[in-house]
Amino acid sequence: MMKKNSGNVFLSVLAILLFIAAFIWFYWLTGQDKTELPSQLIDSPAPTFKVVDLLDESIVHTQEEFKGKISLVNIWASWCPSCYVEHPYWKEYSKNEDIVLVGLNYRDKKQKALKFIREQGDYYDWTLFDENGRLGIEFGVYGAPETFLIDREGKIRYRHVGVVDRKVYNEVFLPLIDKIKKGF
Amino acid sequence: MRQAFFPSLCLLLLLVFANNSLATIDVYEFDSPELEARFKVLIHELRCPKCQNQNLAGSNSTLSLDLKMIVYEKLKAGESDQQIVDFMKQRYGEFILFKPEMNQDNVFLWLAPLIFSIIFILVFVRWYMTHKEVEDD
Amino acid sequence: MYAEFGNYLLVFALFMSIALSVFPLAGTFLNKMPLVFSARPLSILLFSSLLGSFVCLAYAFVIDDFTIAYVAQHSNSLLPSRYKVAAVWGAHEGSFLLWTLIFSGWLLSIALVGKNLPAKSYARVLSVMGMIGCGFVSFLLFTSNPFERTLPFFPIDGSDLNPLLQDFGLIIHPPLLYMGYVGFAVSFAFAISALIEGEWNATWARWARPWTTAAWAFLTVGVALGSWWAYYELGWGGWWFWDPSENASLIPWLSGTALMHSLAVTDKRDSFKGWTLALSLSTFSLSLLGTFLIRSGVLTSVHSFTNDPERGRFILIFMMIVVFSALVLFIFRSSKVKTRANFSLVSKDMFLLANNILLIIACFIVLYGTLYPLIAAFFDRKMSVGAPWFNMLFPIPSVAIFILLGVGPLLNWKKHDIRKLASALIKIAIISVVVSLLSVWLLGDFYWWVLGGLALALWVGLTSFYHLGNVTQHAKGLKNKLAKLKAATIGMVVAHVGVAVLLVGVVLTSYYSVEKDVRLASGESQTIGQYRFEMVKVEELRVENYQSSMATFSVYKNDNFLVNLYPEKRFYLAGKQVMTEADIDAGLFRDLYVALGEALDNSGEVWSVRLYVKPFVRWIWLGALLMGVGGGIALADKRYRKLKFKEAKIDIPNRESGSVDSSSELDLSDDVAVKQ
Repeated sequence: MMKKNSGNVFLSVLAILLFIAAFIWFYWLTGQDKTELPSQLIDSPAPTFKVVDLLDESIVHTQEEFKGKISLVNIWASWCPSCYVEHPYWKEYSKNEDIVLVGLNYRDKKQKALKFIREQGDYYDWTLFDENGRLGIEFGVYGAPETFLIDREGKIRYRHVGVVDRKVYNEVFLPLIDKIKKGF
Repeated sequence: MRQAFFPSLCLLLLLVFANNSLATIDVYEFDSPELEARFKVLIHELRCPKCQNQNLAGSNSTLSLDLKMIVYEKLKAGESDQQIVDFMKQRYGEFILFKPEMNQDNVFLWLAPLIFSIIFILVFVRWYMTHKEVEDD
Repeated sequence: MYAEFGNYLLVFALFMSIALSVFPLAGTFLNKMPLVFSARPLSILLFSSLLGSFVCLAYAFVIDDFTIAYVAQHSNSLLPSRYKVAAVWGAHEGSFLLWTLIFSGWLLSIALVGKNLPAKSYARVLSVMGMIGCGFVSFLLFTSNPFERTLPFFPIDGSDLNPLLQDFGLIIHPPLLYMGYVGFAVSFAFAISALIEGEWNATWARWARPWTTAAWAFLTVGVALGSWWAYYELGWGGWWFWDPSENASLIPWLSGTALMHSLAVTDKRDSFKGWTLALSLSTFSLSLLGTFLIRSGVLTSVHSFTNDPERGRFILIFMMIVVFSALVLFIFRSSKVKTRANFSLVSKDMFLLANNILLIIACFIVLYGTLYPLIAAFFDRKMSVGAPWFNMLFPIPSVAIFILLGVGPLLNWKKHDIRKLASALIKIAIISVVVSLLSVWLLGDFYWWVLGGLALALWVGLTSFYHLGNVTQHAKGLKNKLAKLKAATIGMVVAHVGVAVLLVGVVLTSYYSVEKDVRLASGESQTIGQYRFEMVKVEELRVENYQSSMATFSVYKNDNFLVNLYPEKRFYLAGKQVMTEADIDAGLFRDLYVALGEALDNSGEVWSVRLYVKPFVRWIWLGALLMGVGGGIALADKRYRKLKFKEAKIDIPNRESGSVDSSSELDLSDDVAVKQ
């Protein structure tokens, strides 16, 4: 079937090249985190909303409150184990005067959410109570914890999935916050 | 991004273990069978964003239930299939579509099988014509 | 201690596989017959050590030894004994041990049954198998050892087997599936051996055929079992999701079907050799690819094992070595294989070739759709290719295959005068279309795909029976007619009829299934068509290792009592998992399916319930089963048992004198045997 002619040599070389490409491709794939979903809202305005405050029912928040400040919106819930791990970090980050910390309590029961705040501490400047999870869906949330960085114009600049530990905060968030401060 | 992996995994495991095999059966009332049929198709063609390869119909995660409810509400409100799909895509990306869109980005997806078939058949035909040992009547 | 023994047996197996890879093959190059003849004992030792290792692991499960990590993670003291044994292959490490054991089983079978092969070929084939075995055992030992201990801190009780797996399906699906997957290594080894030897002829094909058919039959049944199991276990009434793990079994199956048919041509006509070689190499490579994709965690699937990049890379490298060697050998050695187009346009050869092309196209479609999201990932896109895409494209080559299926078996080899056949074919085509039209009219709503599918199924079925009639037309009386039929012919007809049955099941269930999600309180009913489902009551029970809310449904057909169904919602105590267990009234012409959703009130009296009426769904698995059975019947053909090789005479080593004589004359009258 395979006579030694230029056509077959070409095919053979092609086959070997494809093979090598496939190997590199598969090797690269084994190192990837397949659960990660990139946010669709990067560089878009934060979604429009009217959501009640967790601690004070009479206060209604909207996306206008993001304007003029740099905000970190943290998606959390009492049913999320990693949120308990992450929460103490917010105490540290709240000391950063450049940013406003906003909590978004996602798909939670009010009593359990309030218990969480009582026991773990309240480090947010204000907290949204997204009981039915619709605001989370507007943000493209698919799990907790997640954290969004929103700039002074109310645009979403970055979404982090998972715990924002010191490494993530220092290496990812702070440089971005700096960049926004400088007007970019 | 090892960061993202672990907490998402925790969440995933929590939800997977909380409610295993069956899609939570929610009862949706429809005014017409056409609407119901469209609903069924849509929830089969939309992917659960956090599950291990399940569609909204087969998933019992809270997010899937919420998304199914949104599909239901939008259908009742009179939105078209395309509008509903676009809504999902704007928030979760093309990942959520089990039926890949027929656009420029996916041209290789939809055309490759055809091109492969044509090349394959042509190569064979050429081989047959040049190597034929038997006379046809 | 026995667990360490099991581990040592794996180490021993590794050494045996290395020895098997090296010695017999070296013997063929150096012409040292003792090395060549070492193949058989080494094969026996390899299989025995793997069997021993497997038994040790099974023993660990049976005695609840939670000091072994794998047992602790996947078993529990409350687990019923039959599932304790099945749990051995319930997760990655143990299932791979089963995989390797089954592989060594095939290896042993060749070693024992291969007496008719020329000694050097025998040795070569076994060495190639040994090399593959070496890869599998290394993978087990170095990355996926099932004997790792949890000591010094071991749990009091295990984490339990996933409730979804606590089912009959686990007992049969993986073993049969693996029999198929690794069975294709046999034809792979034959192909490699032939390439090394530089000789690929019809006798080789005849030898490889039954092995390949057997592997194919196992894989067919294995895949069908997976579909059936998912159907009744997962509760959404579907039988195929185009999930990557399902595709991973379908891809080698499609290639294997092409291979099996291609081998038939090479056997009969001494042609298609390049095809058969290429398909032999690719089918097993695709099996390996499937294993890699599933076990590395590269693809997201409901069916994935826990993944680990290190494991993924190990399998990847092993797979690449195997495929690369095959590729290189093929490129450099296949020039020795001559190709001929010794058939005309209308001939069995041509139709089988067309069949091959179409199967490969179908295989490409499934492979491409499965891999495409991974290609996109490389370019920073996260996208999905799911059932809608596959369902649009896969039927296209399938329809073409079904059309050809009706004609191919009826044709002669080399050349056929179609004029004589044409009138019969046209009549069958008309009958098919008319009967389908009638059926669709009776069934209710009209769908083009149902009409087409039924017509094609009838076309395939009727032409198969017509073929039977043709073959036996000169014999009078049933007994004589049956005597005229060879096992191979019967097998083929049964398998092709199986295809028709499967097709009927697929189209009818896809278009005429009815699903209703309703809210029911005790005493309330829901009607679907002629069936009325009444939820009588819901009770709380404690069984084996779970607590259950069990509902009693009385089903009435046209107001006559038909059957009681008992769907459950189970809470497994050990792992605290909730699972729904549907109840199905299985029938030849329809399934009635009831599943419990959630309790909608606190008293447990009102539930969300899913009801299905699924017409002809059993035909899908019956069809597949028929295909497998057909393959099994074809294997029994006398032709395979009388295989003799006419080649160079090789003398058996003289035990007393220790001398070996080998001559390379071409002696066409003697059999050559590997007797020890």
